[in-house]
Amino acid sequence: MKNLIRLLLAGALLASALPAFAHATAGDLAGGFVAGFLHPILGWDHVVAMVAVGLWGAFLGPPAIWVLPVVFPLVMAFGGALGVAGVPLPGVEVGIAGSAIVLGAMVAGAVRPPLPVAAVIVGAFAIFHGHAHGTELPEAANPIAFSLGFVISTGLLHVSGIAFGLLVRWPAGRIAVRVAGGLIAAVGFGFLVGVL
Amino acid sequence: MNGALLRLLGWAWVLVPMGAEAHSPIPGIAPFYSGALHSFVVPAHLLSMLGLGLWVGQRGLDFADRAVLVFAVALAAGLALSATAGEPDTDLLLLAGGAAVGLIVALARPMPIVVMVAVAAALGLALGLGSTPDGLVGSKRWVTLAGTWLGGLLGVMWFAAMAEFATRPWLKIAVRVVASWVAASALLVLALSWVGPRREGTAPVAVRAGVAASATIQCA
Repeated sequence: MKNLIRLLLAGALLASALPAFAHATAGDLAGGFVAGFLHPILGWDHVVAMVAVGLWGAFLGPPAIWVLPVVFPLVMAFGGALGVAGVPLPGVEVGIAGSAIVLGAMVAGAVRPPLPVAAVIVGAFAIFHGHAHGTELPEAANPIAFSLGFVISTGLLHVSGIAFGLLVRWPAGRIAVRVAGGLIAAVGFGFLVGVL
Repeated sequence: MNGALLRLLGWAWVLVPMGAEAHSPIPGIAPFYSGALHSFVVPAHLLSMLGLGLWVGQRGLDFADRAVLVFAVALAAGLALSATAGEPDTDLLLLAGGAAVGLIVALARPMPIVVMVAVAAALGLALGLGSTPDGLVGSKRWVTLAGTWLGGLLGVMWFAAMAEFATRPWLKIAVRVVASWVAASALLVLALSWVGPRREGTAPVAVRAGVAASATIQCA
């Protein structure tokens, strides 16, 4: 008798399975996008580093002004794939803080390396940022919307850095941009030592 | 008594079937418009349309007519075949295509027109096959499919026009930046779909919920 009840219950539970929501609901889409969009913005270690990428690109001028913001998301996707795959990357937080320190220092010091060197530096740090975002991806309500959100958000942070960086056309603006780079490096150092 | 109660409860569960809502059209919207909106509200479809449109526009009007024409025919064929194809999941193909064309646009490397036409055909077919409206039959189904065809075609043409009109240097750069975003997003989700099922825990759920079959939106 008990077996019959168990059988009936099991059958009933199976039959009552909810429909397979194979396709994203509007809530999933919006939630996934907003979560992804906010992910880089809510961590201001990400924010200052992304702004620094734009600042440095603007400081270096064409073609770096667009090469760096194109390189960053593509390499970030590679780092994100590592995060999604669960591949451990040591020192992710240190790498993110380090990106703010190094990129901020590059702007503050008006360092002008060859473009490939700048791209490699930016790309190397993009892996850490991508890994941090990628680890969140499998838990997202809608991974596609989440990834779109954080890639667009990251890009817009670059754009804000570029916009501010365009001040380098004027002498006073050049000083302001270099000071901003110094502040970014200081914030990165604060994250590194755990003050922030 | 308890046994009878449990049996009753069990049969109650069995006799309360839930509707299959996987491919429900958007409620409150007429079938044609629902179909037209379809490709814009499914992220994998939107990414592939955006990538293809930017590529076509970046190459210029000389190649646009052939690519768009082939895309239109392939999309129509895919939509027509979707009725008999058993609702294939084409999202991964669309994401792979979106990633590829996003990279091509971001790198701004000229490709032979044959490659562009072949990619346009593949993406059009995949978009059509992956846009099966669920729960609709007869004329409503075909009206929805017609809307999807028009929406998909207008989408690609609109994105292509935006890229074509980007004549100023900074606008050309903006096109490449947006394309890099398309590629990055698509690559990430492809990575999730490939490695996710191998991970324990939540990844397979995420793949099922958002990646493996987000061919249409369900807005119940």
